[in-house]
Amino acid sequence: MKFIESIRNGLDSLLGNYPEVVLYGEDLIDPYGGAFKVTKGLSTKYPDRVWNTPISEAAIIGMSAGMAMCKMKPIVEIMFGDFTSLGVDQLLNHLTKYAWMYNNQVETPVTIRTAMGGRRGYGPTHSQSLEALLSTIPGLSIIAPSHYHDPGRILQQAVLEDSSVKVFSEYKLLYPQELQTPNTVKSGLTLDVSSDVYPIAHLSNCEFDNPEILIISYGGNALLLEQVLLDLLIEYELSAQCALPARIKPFDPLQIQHLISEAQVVLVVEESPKCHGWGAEVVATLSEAGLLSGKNVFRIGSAETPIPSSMAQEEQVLPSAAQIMETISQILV
Amino acid sequence: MENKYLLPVEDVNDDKATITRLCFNDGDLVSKGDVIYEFETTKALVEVDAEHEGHIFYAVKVSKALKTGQVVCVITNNPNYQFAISNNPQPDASYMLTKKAQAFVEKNNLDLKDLDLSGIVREKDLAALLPNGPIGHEEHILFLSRSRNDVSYLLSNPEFRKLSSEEKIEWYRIQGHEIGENCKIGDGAVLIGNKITLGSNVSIAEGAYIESPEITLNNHVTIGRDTNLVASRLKLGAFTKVGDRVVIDISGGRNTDSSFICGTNCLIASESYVNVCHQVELGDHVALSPRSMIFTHSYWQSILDGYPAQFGPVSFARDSWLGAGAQVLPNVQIGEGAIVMSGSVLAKNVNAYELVGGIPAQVIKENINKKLSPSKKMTQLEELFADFNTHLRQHGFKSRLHSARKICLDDEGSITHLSLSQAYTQEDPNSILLVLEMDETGTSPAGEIYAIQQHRAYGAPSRVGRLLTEFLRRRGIYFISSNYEQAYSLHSSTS
Repeated sequence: MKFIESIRNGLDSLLGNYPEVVLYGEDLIDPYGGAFKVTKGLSTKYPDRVWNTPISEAAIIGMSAGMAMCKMKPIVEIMFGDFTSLGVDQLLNHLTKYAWMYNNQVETPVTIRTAMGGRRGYGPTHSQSLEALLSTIPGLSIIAPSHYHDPGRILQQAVLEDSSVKVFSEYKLLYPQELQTPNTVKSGLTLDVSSDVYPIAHLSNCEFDNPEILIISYGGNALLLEQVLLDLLIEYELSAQCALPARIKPFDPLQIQHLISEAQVVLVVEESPKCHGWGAEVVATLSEAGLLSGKNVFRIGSAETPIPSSMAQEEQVLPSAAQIMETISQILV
Repeated sequence: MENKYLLPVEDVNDDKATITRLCFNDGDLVSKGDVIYEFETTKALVEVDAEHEGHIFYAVKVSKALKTGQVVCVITNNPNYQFAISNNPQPDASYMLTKKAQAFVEKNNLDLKDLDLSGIVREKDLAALLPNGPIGHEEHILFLSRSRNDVSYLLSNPEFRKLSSEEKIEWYRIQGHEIGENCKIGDGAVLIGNKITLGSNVSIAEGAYIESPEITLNNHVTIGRDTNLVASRLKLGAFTKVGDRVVIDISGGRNTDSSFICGTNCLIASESYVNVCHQVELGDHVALSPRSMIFTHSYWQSILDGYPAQFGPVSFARDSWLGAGAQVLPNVQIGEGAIVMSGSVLAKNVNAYELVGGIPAQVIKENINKKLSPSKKMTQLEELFADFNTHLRQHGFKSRLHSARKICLDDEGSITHLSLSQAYTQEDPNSILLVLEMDETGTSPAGEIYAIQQHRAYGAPSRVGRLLTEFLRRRGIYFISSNYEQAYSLHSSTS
């Protein structure tokens, strides 16, 4: 099954089984079915609960607050992650505050699905990964699965069981990817996925045998990192493991605690700029937990510039496998 | 014309099948309709017929499991057809070797054809397939093979040490060791090893004792008097000089890396002590001043009583310098061009071009070197050159500065030119070489050449040449002399 199909099935199952679930956003009804076709077919199947909205992210997100307080479970789609900024006031000053301001008499279990990430030549305002920016809002959870997770199942659990306000980030290049299981994973790699509500996927090039390198990342970076793991193996036989938590905020250091002890190099990879980024938070959290002493720690992120439209230039700005390989080989080779 | 026969998909559930019969020998002529091979799926035996005429060559062996789509055989008109030999991977190959594994295959001359490999193959996977099993940790440690006749003879027979240099060298050669030309092994000196390799012009002074399973001393290495070198692997690069009463030992225990590896043009001055419990490595042009000490282990009391213990290698990058009496502790790396002041105790790494000193050593100055442009170097040398002219006159030579880069001098009637020129060596056309050429009129080119940046002097030194090297040494440019090397040639760009 492909990543996009898994999410579509998850939405289908939610709409089919739970009348309180509604799904709306820009251009998502048939025949168009959304800019990335995730919702294709759903408006035909559930015409009264899948809607198009006007082009106003503030309205889309704000409206969900009211519905959630009326015991509905709204799922909204923001066409491009970059546009969530237009709804930030609603997220920052309304949705994430109501439960606290009204003494937990109301809750706002809203799920905001949005497509993030670059490498498609969409230019500076349609290619960003804003997880780190949004993660500074207290009370907002951020979920960013990879194709090593089951995104449809995670989405269902998030909608049904997690009453926080959630941003569900879908990396654009993951949509056509086949979901990977321990049996289908590329030769040379092994996969293990935890059974948590928000599972963490571990990808290893050494069958989890005391990796020298631990790479922490999320979402679509998995595409880059599976290549890095294979390159490290073929070029240098360096043992490395990649930890991909499905929920990146709040970040739970306990999920990777057991992996860190043997690693000499800990690397955090994100597609947004590393300055004040998610990697900084991960490193600080692990460090406070006393897990990083004596290790070589690096963050790799995009350049501190807008993302160019030219794909050749975009390649230069976003983190690359070569960059990661160079960072590691300078320490270990 | 070659026709490839790929293993067909016979059953949708099978992505592999086993070849059960090959019906011809390589090179045999086959006709259309002949059964050429047979394979077995989980459900059936299948015979495959030739669809072409020609010579048949099989890419597989009987009982080999193949993936569907892989080549089984080729029918061609070429009677001498050969499959492209490649241990590695057409994209559709069922396995891929890591770079280390490839190196392992080459080193051990492994034939992978019959091995059942799949996925990514690591060095350890291949090692496990060798008849002797995987190479154990222990076997990486080089041990002196005391059961060898020549080794036990050297260890037990004091008579050997009384032999002359020529007799010793001949004995080593008969035992299969490689000893180059013009080597000298002084009275009482002995080398004990499983494998001893000496280059040319190596000289080992009286009373030296060298013991290591693998001893490699390159051209022009000199070892001083009563020096004791013991390691698991001992390698000294060309022109390296080891002083008198130097000690290298393995106290603290022999480890997989108890080796002493030293680059070219190094100086290990008298009474230095180097412990090689773990590897000590010196890059090129590294100097250890007299009585310097390097430790690769540091402990005495038990860790069970809460005391610290430290083990680890030490390395010096090229052009670094350890001052007299300085001590280096385990796990320390000294960067390129760094200086450790005399008497310091070094417990931390030193970055390139840092000056450190004290107990424990602290950074005193960074970026101590200056990258001079070639023209700046030339200007500096021209000043030295003018001073040298004065120096010559003080020594009674009738010399005169012909130009900024040329001195003419009259040495008891014979006229000699001394010139400073920029040149490019053949071995490294990009590096600018500054040379002093001595040119005696009427005789063939350069009698003596001084490659300043390389610290090399070529040719038998004349009186002027000796004055020159002494003069430059006192001004901060040293030379390592060697006999004239035939291979050396220069292309002067200016004269």
